[in-house]
Amino acid sequence: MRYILTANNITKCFFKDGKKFNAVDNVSFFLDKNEFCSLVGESGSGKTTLVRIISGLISPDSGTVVCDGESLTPRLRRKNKVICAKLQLVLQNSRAALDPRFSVYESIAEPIKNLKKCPRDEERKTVEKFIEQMELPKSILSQRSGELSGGQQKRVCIARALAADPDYIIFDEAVSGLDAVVRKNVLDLLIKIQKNSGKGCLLITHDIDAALYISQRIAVMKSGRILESVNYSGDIKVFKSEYAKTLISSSSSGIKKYDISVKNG
Amino acid sequence: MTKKIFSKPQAVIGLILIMIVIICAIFAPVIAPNSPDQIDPSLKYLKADGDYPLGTDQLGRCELSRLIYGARYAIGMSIPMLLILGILGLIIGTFSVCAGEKMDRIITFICDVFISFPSLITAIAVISVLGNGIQNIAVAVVISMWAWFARTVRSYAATEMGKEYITAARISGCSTVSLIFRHLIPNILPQCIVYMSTGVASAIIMISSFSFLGLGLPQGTAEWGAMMNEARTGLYGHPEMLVYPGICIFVTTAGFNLFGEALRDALTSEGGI
Repeated sequence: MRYILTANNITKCFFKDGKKFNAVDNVSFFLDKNEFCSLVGESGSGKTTLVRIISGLISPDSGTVVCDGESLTPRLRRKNKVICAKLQLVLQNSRAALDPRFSVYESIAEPIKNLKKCPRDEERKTVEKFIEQMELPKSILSQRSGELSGGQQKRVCIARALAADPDYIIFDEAVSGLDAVVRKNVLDLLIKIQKNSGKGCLLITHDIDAALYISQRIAVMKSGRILESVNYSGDIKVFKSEYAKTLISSSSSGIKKYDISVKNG
Repeated sequence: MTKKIFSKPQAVIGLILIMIVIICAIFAPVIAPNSPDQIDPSLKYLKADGDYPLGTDQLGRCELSRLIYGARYAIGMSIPMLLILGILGLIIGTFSVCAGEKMDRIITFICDVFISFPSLITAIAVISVLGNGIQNIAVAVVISMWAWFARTVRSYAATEMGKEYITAARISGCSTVSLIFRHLIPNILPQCIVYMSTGVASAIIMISSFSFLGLGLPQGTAEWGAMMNEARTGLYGHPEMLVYPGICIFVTTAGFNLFGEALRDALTSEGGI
């Protein structure tokens, strides 16, 4: 049996100013193990809503999410620690995603405490291993999250997600709000994590450059629908939709790539 | 944080006032020059002198000693009551937020009903059912004030629950109980303590106003509100007997309010601790 995370015909609507609108409109999507996939779309295209449904935090109005053969609901996620550990989400705003009263050590150790139940020294070793993997100094373990820089907070959040030893990790806007150097470092780190661990990784972003840099498969989302989902291996001609082309051509480095590929093509 | 609080003069003044009252309450037998309950009609309405620094009341009891012993009632009743109210508020408020939307609405509705009753009416009803006694005053105060605490804690908790670290904790596999105890309560506790410290003042006023009306405490108790009530009979001849306990109530509540507000200012300017 092939293990995989799938979302089938997901619809979720919200009410805004008394009007009903579909944040996610009949979307189907999958994430395989051992792949890096990206979901690209502008702000308000329903990416975060879709991700919250896929990770079992909120339930869809219609449609199902299936994780390794089991139907995933918020209730199941709360009750079943195995499912909970399998699927981890790194939230968008890492400053807000860390409890201000917790030290870095406590934050990273939290999923281990909740989901794994292992002795103290083993827990410490695991936390230190992930800190090292995230290229962070050990000295920050005793610091509070508020004392860290934006890039460090992001890494701590990623380390916390990894500490649960998940099969699938979803990064919601993992590189937004970071400066160019830190952004590249984080992206390289994500690629390294994915290559070394063979986990299924999904990057949610409005930044098409990051998606092109990192992923083997890119899904483009607009107004709650997935316009296209393509396998990407360096050739941007694979994108068929006008919207994807606009996205690529309007990104700074994308202009060059797009021009080159159009000329070559 | 501590430095920030004490850089404000109002915090220092508030704390000094609170400390004075607490010291009076604890060391009353040492500080008080006379027994507060020793009745001697021959000494009634004495002028202030060395033995009786503030004179005596209508039954010849030392006024200063009675005021000092009165601090025991004010502090000894209001602080435990506030602790009960605080704990009750934390339990009901956090439960309300975490138990789902329907439960939240029901609890908020019940709170609104309790808040809509004037606290004095509730207290009169409770004391007339349960009878006089310190513990019955405590019950009356808790019944008339719990809803305020529960609703305030609920609003703090609701704000905190919307933050991303709570979602992150859920993703990390936190159960609802450990979410409340590990994340929610530690993060709302500073705000709750501030709310409680300003609540002490209203509890003291409430206790004093009950005893002023003759509710709760037995006749002749050295409690500030009760003393004011007894002094009413000699209002025209000896108005100072009414003023002294009034000043005590004023000073104590001012102390708690000043300190509580300084705490709140320090907390809000820091954007939460």
